[in-house]
Amino acid sequence: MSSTDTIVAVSSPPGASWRGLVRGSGPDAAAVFRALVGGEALPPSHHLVTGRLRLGDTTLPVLAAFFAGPGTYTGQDMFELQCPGHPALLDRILHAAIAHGARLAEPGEFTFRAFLAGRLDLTQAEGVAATISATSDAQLAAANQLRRGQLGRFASDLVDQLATALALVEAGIDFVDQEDVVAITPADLHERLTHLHDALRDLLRHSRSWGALEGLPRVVLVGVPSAGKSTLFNALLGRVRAVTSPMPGTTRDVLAEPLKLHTPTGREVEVMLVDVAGLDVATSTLDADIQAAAREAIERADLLIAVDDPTQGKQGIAQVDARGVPVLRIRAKADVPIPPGVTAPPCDLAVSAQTGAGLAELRRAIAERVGERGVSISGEMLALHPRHESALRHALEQLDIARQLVQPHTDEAMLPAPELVAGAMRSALDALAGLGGQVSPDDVIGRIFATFCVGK
Amino acid sequence: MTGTDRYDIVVIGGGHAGAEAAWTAANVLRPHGGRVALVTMDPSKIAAMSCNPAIGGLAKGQIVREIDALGGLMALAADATGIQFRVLNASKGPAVRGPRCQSDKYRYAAEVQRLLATRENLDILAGTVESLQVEDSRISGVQIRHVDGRFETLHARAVVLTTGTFMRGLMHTGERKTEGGRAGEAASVGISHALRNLGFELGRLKTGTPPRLAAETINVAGLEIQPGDERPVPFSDMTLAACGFAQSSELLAQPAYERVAHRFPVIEQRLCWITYTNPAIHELIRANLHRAPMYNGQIETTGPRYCPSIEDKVVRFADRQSHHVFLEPESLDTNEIYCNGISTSLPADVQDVIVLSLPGCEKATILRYGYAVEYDMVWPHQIDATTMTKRIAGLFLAGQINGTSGYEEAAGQGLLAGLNAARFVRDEELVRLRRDQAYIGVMMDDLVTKTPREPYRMFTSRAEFRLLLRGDNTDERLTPLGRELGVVDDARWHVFQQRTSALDALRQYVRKRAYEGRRLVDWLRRPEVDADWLLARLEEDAVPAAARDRALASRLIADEQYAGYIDRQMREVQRLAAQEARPLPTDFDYSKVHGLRREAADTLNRFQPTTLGQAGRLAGITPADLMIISVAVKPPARAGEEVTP
Repeated sequence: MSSTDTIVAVSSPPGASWRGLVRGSGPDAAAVFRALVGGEALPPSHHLVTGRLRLGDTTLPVLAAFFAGPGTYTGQDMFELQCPGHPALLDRILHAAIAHGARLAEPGEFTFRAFLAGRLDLTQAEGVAATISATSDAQLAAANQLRRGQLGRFASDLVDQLATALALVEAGIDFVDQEDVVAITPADLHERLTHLHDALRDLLRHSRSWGALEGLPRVVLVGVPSAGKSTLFNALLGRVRAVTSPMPGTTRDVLAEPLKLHTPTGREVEVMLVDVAGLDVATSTLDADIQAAAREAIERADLLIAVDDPTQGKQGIAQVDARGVPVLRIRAKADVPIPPGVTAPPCDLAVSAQTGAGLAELRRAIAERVGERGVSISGEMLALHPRHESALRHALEQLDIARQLVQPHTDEAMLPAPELVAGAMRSALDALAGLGGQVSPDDVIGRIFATFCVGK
Repeated sequence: MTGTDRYDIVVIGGGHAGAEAAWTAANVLRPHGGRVALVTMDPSKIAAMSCNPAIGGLAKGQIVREIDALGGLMALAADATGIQFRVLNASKGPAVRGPRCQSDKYRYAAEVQRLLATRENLDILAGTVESLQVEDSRISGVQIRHVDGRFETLHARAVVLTTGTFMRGLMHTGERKTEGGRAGEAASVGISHALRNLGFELGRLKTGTPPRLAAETINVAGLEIQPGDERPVPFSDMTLAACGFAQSSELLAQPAYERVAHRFPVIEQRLCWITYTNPAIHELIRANLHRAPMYNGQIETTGPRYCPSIEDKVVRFADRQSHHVFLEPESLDTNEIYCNGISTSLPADVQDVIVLSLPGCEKATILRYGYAVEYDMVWPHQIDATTMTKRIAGLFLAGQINGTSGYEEAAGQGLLAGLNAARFVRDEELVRLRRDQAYIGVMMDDLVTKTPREPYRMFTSRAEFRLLLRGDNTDERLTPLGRELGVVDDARWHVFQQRTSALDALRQYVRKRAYEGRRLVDWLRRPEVDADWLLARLEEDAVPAAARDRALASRLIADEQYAGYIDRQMREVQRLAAQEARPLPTDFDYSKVHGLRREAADTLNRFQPTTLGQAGRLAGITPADLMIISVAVKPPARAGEEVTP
């Protein structure tokens, strides 16, 4: 809860929405902003500019603004990024900001900083407390629910094993003069750390979060504007994610969601379903950027679903340059009759998102073409909140550090620097506290007493 | 007959907490003409080692070094009277090495008494404290009963209470119960009632001690020997200086340093031996559990898990065939041997058989039977990390009364209590040590933010900033602060400056000089490099003589090896610094805070944390709770600050 570091949070309402907003505040806001949007120079303060957000190996058009303190809500340097309100995308931006040194804001922390900066008078202070308390209650409730769920069970198990391993390391530090305490061997510790590391890595791999889904085969919907791609996108996922409207150009940015499928061999797998902007003639710079992003998505596709809508009397498929990517041709809006005089182009399947006709066949067709490259999932996939994903990633990183410290000594009887290994393990344990429960130093000491006969 | 006398500070109790408190308070008040009294039942027992005759160990050794860096007396007395010195964890990283010594317990107590006697503004009084005098929630004095039964009121502006195991102390050896705080010494009953009447919430804890044997009745031939280090290392920076650059220097020519100024080790060194329990002993203990106060319901209070009695070990680790027993001489002048490992409250007849069944002890005579002792304590959330009680201004608590165990833990608190009592009477702001600054800071913070389940002992794993809290850098961490607070005298300050500039010279040297084509500093991060390696590579006359020092060389290597980790920990310290010291009132009703969760309010109402940092370390308090508190709770007004109604 320190106000000396830089915080970041999604400021738009949770779930999918038309525009997503990510805000940051703190002494490193300028550095984080520059790292995200690029460019050596900051844009003029308090001005909305277009920029390209760097996310791994791709970029995404955003509207961005930098606000120089102290003339800001929090009194600190701040920034805002506006982008499509896609939850996975917003998560990804948060992770990128965290990677550049920001930390996730606590509930109500922006308001709290505004209070510290004297932006709110005392009569508003109670309102601040109420805001903090409401968001924190919601978060606590969510956290409690989470702990009872699959992720919670997994994390508690991990925390338990990690705490036991840490107790064995600490015993070798704090109780060496005790008769019964035999320090854990580097080989044994290495094995335990590797096991924990791999379990955590697999969890992250199989979690539904943008970063972890990079490796999924990408199934990209393409077609002329208003061909019904977004409606089909939602129908395949079985829930409303893309904002749909009959206005052309509604899907202005790249949208992606994992899609669960059954392969012909009966495996349950996931692939990434991507919806891109309609390929149209660009009318503005921003549109041009969006279309560039769409074309990039097509180039990275493993399967293209070319959606055609002969009911509009247009044929869009010819415009798609598939560049060697396999194409599945779909006639959308199969429930709407084709106007007289229009010849329906050849297609592999006819589908109606309205009636559901042809959807099962489409899923099967996708599964047949890319399903075997999908990532297997067992049971319910875990959906990670950015806070938890960030915690799990930190824990993974620390376990990796611990493992690397132990590795060169696996043939030796004793660790030369157990305090450094313990430090990394403690850090991993603390990171997992919100998911698997807090383990205090006293709890670790308790485990030592339960394991060894300590005391002269 | 009733008389009265007037002191600035009265310290009650002459154990390790009381001795350190009186020493520090007297040192701070000395230049200002302030007077200190130490009241104890028997002045000849001041600084007695009631349990094991040893000082230091893992984490405890670091505390002794911290006490020394702050001008305390424990390290000086330990150096002057140690009969075996050993650094534990010597093969591990510098942050977890713990210096330890076996002490001649009589000479140790005598040395502490000699040191106290060098302070002309400190009076030692024999007596028992019967009641505390309080006016307007502020201490004003104590009533004591002299040995001759005469009552006297001592007026004081601050009182440090260090009752050890004496508050309603009850000793158990089998079915036999004796009131008293230590073998052969009476208990103190009045203070418990006085504290309860003042509204303090008291608890009860238990500890124990093993039998002592007559040395001449033990046959050590054939027993495993435990020797000290070949090159013993002292605790005190002053002893280190006396062995090194300050040899025969005028600096050490004052009574406080005279015992450590000429040679180290100061007195004759001794060996310890190791023997073992066996299945027959374990069987005997099991058969007599119904006579063990810990198991028949006679004692219900909690003892420390890290210091279990032999009956605990046998029950809890039933599959073990044998436990070590360390035979440690208690003095060069007496025949007492301490049986480290068989702390027990079993009846005397059972103790006899246990001892006679130990290899080497077949003919041993028990000089004193082991016993368990129960005593009253004050739940420590009622003090601040300064050791002053939140309820009564000017009343300070230190040592086992706060639920801790160990001489070093007690002395650390005693030093802080003596210092803060002196600051209190001088109207100066009280001092807290931070968790990243000292083990003493970690201990105080743990005490005031967590409810102890057992007597609290320090472990290195309790310190999240363990890499910063090394035993070899205590002077850097604390001596400048101690100088500012008036506990570091000119001699110690001079030694500190000498060592600091020698270390700087050494640091510059390794950055500039190369060895086999690489800078020396780059060699220091290699695991095979140690102090001797570095010293062998210092060219003649290139560094000052004071820099040619094993301790400094090891320290430089430690700094380099930990450099990256230290930077990271320092950043974390700085991140937390802003909220850490923000003061909170201690008489605040948190249930009135709008939006604060009920559970959070209950916890905060019980603990009444004095800083936002403490509040954040209470179990179950979330960052959101802290934000709400900072918005809703105004810091208490400080003296001299303008207040609006």
